This record gives sequence, C-alpha cells and structure tokens, in this order.
Amino acid sequence: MATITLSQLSRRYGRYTAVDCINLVVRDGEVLTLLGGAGCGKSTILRLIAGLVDPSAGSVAMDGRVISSAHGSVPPERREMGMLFNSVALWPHLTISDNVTFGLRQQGVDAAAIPGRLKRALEATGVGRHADRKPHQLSLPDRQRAALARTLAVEPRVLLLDDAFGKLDPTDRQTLAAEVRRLQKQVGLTTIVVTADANEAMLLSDRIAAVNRGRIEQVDTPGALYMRPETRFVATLLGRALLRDGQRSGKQISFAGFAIDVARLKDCAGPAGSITVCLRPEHLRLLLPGDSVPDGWMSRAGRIQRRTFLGTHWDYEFAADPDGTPFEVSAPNTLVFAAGADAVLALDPARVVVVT
Amino acid sequence: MRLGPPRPSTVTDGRAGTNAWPPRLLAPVLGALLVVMVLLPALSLLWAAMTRGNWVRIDLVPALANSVLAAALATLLAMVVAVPLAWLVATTDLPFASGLRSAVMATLLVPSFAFAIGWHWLAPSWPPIMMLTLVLATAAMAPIFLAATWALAQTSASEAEAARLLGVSAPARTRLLVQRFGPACAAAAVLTFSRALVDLGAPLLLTAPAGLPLLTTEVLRVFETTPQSATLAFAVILLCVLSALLLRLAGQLGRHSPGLGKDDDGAGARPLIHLGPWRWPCLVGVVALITLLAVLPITALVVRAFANQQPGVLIAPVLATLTVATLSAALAVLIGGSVAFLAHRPTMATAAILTGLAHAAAILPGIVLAVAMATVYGRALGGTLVLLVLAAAALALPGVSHHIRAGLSRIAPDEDHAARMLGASPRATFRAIILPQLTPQLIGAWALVFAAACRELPTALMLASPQLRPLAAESVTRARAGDFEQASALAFVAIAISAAVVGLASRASGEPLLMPRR
Repeated sequence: MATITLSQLSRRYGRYTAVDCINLVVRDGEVLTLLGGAGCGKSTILRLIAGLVDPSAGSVAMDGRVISSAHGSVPPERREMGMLFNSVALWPHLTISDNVTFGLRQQGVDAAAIPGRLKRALEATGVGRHADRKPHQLSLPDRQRAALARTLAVEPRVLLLDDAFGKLDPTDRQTLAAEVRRLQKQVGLTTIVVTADANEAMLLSDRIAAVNRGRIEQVDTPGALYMRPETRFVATLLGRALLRDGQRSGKQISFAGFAIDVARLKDCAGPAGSITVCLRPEHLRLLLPGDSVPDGWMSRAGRIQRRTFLGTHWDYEFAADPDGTPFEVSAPNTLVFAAGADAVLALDPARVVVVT
Repeated sequence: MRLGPPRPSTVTDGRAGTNAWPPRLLAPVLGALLVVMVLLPALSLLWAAMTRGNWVRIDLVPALANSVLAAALATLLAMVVAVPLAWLVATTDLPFASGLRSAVMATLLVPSFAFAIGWHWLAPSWPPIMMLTLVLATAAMAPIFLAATWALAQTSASEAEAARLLGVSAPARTRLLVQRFGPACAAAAVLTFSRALVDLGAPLLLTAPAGLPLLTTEVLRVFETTPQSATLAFAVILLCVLSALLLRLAGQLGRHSPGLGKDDDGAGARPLIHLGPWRWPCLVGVVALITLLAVLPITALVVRAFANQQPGVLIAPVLATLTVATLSAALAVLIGGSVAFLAHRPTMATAAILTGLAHAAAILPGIVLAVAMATVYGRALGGTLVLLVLAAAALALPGVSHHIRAGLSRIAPDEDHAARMLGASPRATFRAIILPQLTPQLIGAWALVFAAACRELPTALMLASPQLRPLAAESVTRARAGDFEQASALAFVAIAISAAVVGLASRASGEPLLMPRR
C-alpha cells in the first residue's frame, strides 16, 4: 500500500504537451480513476507513475520519496508497482504458470515459495484450470484474469490498470471490474485506473479524476462528480447532461424560460453575466397538464416533440417554445405521452448546477 | 512528504538505467562496422570517379541500350506470366495451388547463371537475347508473383460483396480489383527491372560470348583488364544512380498500393472463384508454363550435373561457399538485427542514422559493391575470406534489417513494459521476452542470407582468389572456359545447399520461408 503524489507533473513531446502541470494525491488503499476521452493524456499520466515515461517537469513521489522527476527516475522494475495493460501483454511463448511466476523469479523469491504463491494468485483470479495453457488458448476475459494473477502474484504496493477492460464486451467488462474491485478491497491495494468508460469508473472508483487535454479538471467521489460537475467537460463526461446557456443577474439565474433564486442553488457564487446550467435528464419530470407540481419545483408547459422507447424507460424531447432547444427527459416506461401531446416539464431547482 | 528536487540517494538516473541495455558501445560499434561495410566503399568509389584521370574508353551507349532492352523484355514477360498466375493461385479453385505456389517461389533459390547454364544445354542455337530474356523473366517471376498475391490477399470479401450489392458490373469490379493491386504489381515490376538491369550471371554466359555487350558484362570486362580505371567507376556510378532511381520509384508506387502499405488484419478471406470446366485446362496451362520456364532448364542442369561427375572438383568450392555463407549470414543477422532492435525498441537518436546506413546497401547492386570493395580493400584484403564475408553481409543488410524489424513489430511494447513492471531489468526483458519470440525471425533471416550468399555471383567472382572461390564463382568461371558439365554440377550443388538450408530453417523456425500466405 502506498500514497502517490504528483506535483506539477508535465510531459511534453516536442511542441505537444501530453500532460500539463498536474497535481494529484492518490491516497493509501483507494481506487482512483483517471477518466477522459481518447488522447487526453490519462495513459501518459499512468506511464509517468509507472516509470515507463520520464517527466519533462515536476515529480512523482511514492510515500514521500520522489521516484520520477526531470532529473532522474527510479526504473520501473524497482517501483513495486503492478500494471494491467489494454493489450493484456501476456507473453505468448510462455504458459500461464510461467507468465505468473516470471515476476516472482525476477524478484528473487525463494523457489520453494513460488508454487504456493502461484496457486494463490491463480485461485484468486479463477484461472487455475488454465495454468498449463498458452495465452492464445484462453478467452479474452480469462487472459486478462491471468494477467491480473501475474500482477498480483508479485504483491505490488500499487496496481495500475491501463484501460485494462477496454477490449472486453460490456458484460465481461462489468464482471471483471467487479472482480478487481473485490480483490482490491481484500488486499487494500492502492489502485489507479485509466479508462474512457464512465460506468467502469463509477463501478471501480473511490474517487474519479476527470482528465481533459492533459489537465485534471476535477477530482471527487463518483457521486459528487456526477451531481455537482464544475465544468461543461465534466458534466458531459459522466452520463447525459443537458447544458443550457443562461444569465445571472443579481440574486437570480435565468435559463430556458426558468428563473431561479440563487439562494435555492448549491455552490452558485459568481459574478453577474453569462452562465451555463447543467441538468440531468432524470432530474426533470414530465407531468400531464393539470397535474400538481411538487413543492418547491418549477414548471413550464409545452409539447412532446419526439419519443423513444428504451425498455426500462422512455426518452422524450420536450419543447416549451417552438423555437427553443428541446429538453431530453427520461420518464418511467409506464408514463406514456404521444408525440405532439401537451405536457408540463417540472424541475427541482436544488438539482440545477452552474458549470464553467 | 519530501518534495522538490530529488535527492541523489533516492533517485536513480532512469536514462542511465535504460541505456544499460543495450550496451553503450553497441551503437558506435555498429556505426563503425556499417561505415566499413557500406559508407567507405561507396564514398571511395565516388572519389575515384571524380579524381582519377586514367579514363579508359568504353562503349557505354550500346551496353546501356542492350541492358535496358533485356531488362524491359524480361520484366514484361515476367508480368505477363506471373500476374495471371498469382490471380489463378490466390483467388480461384485451381487444383494443386499450394504446389504451384511452392514451385514459383522455389525459383528464388535458383541463381540466374544456373538458368543460363540450363538454357545452354536446352537450346544452344537460340538467339542470346531471347535466352537472356527467358532467364531474367524466370528469375523475376517470383517477386512479381509474391507482390500480386499479397495485394490480392488485401482485397477483402466484403469489398467484393459491397461492389456486387451496389450493382457494380463485372468489368467494373475487375477494374476496381486492378486498381487495388495494380500499384503493388507495378512496384514489383520496377524493382524487377532494376534487378534484371544489374544481373551479371546470365549475361556473362549468354550474351557476352556472342559479343553483345551489357552494362554489367562491360564493367566486369574493364575491371578484369584495367581495375584502376575511372571509367569503371563512372560506369559503376551510373548503375548506382539507375538503381537508386528505380528503387525510389518502386517505393513511391508501393506507398500508393493498399497491398504493400499495410497489413490489414480486418480483411476477410475472399471466397474462391470457381473456374468450372476451365479448372483442369488452366492447371495444364500453368504447369506447362512453369515447366517451360523453370523446370526444363533446371532438369537439363541436373541431368548434365550427374553426367560426368568429378567429385574432387566440388570439395574446395563447397567448403568456401559454406564458410562464406555461414559467416556472412551470421554477421548480417548480428548487425541487421542489432540495428533493427535499436530502431524499434529503445528509440535511440542514432538509430535513424544506423538504419539509413544499413539500408543504403539496397541501392548498391552486387557488382557495384564488389568493385567498391576491391577499390578500397583490394590491396590489403583482396582474395581473403574477410572481404568476401563483408561484401556478402553488406548486400544482405537491408533485407535482414527489414525482416527482423517485422518480427519485432509483432511483439507489443507492452510485453516489454509488463516484464519491467514485474521486476525484470532491460537486459533480462530482452533475454526472456524478446529473444525467444524473435528466434524464428532470426533463424529465417540467417537462412535467407545464407541462400543469397550461396548464389551471390559478382562479389564472389570479383573478390575471391583462386584458392577461395565459392561455388557460384567457380561455376561461372568454368562455364566461361567452356566446361559446362562441371559448371552444371557446381551450380546444382549451390542450389541444393541453399534449398536444404532454407527447408531446415523453415522447419526449425515454424514459419514457411519464401511462401506467401493465402
């Protein structure tokens, strides 16, 4: 277990800045996910932590000891970290057993202890029956389980997952992510995950760092990040977000025909002027005309423009003004509106978030 | 927590750690070897052409015209034969396709002088230029076949189905197919033309005795009579420039080709076209063609090789060939493999220079390198094993480097990273992860260089001494002296040795060498 501290960490490739002056602390025993789109620099951050890439500026420290800086780095083989790769990276010329024991032999583990540790690692990850097979004889999820066994066998202090489940189908991805989460909880291993999948990040993480263009825009728990995003990027990174331009004047904000007292919003300090408001579709409610609006909620009458049935729920497009941008609203599959039907849109002002 | 500048006691210099493997001295040593093997000979040749004044007059225009004519005719004939053959073998249900493919690719193991000796036995009275065209076309058939097969393999079944669904007519679909694999074939043709232009063995035995000068035979004639001549250097440089231009052109054509540009894993297997009643007639035609061009001359060579055997004659050339081929293959694999590794893995700044030097030999035909080596090292090392090995290895460097680099690119860098993360040093990672996976490519590269060294004629002919003369040089020397029976035996043994080594290497490495994938 270990604490990882990134201080003013940067990595440049010529004129291109992949990682731009990042500060981040990964706490002992927590799972922190670096979440962002392709090419945002999240994998580079992970490789900087692993020692596979040297920083251009700043430093990486492990339990207060600097292990990477522009002046020098501890080589990866001496960092006591384990890493799972998107490409799995099992060695095709070795059996699963040989793959798993490779690290033990490299670290000079007593030969008598190796079979026991091999058995434990294979059993923990559920690939014991494949011990004598070559990697190409395993399914992709089992290959990744074997790679996890290989990594856990050496008992690393930090586990790094570089989009490790990105090549799996959604079901296998969720299953394997849950298995990793269970193992991580058992061992209490400090874990840093890189992924572009918001669901995987939610499932795995104690905290999520939203990475955009080489910078970290916000770090928080999954719930806080979802409910109170600080930027447009973070708002759209996790789930569906309705972003509407509006105005702040005095003690009120106004957008799309709604006017809300600033006092009813959380964390809405700021000067007067243009703002962007973020709403989640599930925080809006569609009502039949004449239905009572919940206490403290605000409403607008309008019309259903389009609807899509998605099994568990309906997605409706609701427009208050013929020319205005429609609202996407999720409703239970029992609440059925016809396209073109009159409806009332209600929203809870406490759920409205102003983003930058 | 301590932050700020790292303390020396806690931080190891990562770059120093990375550079511990490969060893620091590797790049300078490789650079020195490449300078000795490639750069110095090429520069000295250029210098000789610029500074020496004892110009000897050679009749350049007819030699150039004859060379271009023979190369063009041979390329045309090879295209006419090899492209339809590739189409039949790669896309139709032609019977025995695998055997036919092997037969065509086996011609890569036969040197042009062996075909020339075969044709000497088959049709001694035919016009020399006709025999030369047939020989050069046969030698050129396999590369064009390979390129066409490769390009055809890149056109996926879904492409053909999409065209069919869109209602594209059959002629238009054929035109699309030609557009897809045409550039690859054109690139192969240009390369074949350049190879035919600098071939020495066949012209030496077929056209030179008839007084028909070609560039290569003229260079050899002048080399044998006045080796210090600047005209010689001039002719040699002409060859170099021509080869460089053709290689450049071929490279550009290849880049435009979807077949040679990338290996598209996503391309589905194309369903075989059913030839129906034409299946067996097509097979008869293809077999007849291969028999006429390749099987007949080789059969004539083999029959004559066993007609009047003097085994004692073979011993010294066989030993010389085995020694030169073994050592040059080992040297080429060592240098080419190291250059490929430096360029592919640690990404050293000097790797680009080393790669450039290793690939520079691609524009130096064997005859040019032989003259250059003789000019620079002839006085000190002339006729020695060292010079023969250096020359043969230098010629093989581009191919070896490319072959091993292709092997390295199949090993994902994450496999190295995984080993490092588990505690393996860069040296241990190389030994335990990279080397075992690269072994098939190393064996394959070694065998291919060995086979090439067995049939390499110009360097063997111009740099060897009478005491150390490999099979190729001895065979051609005897043929020039009129002893075609011994020449046949020597050529046959050269082919047999290289075929045996390639066969064994294919089995050992588990990868079929010289065989395009269907």
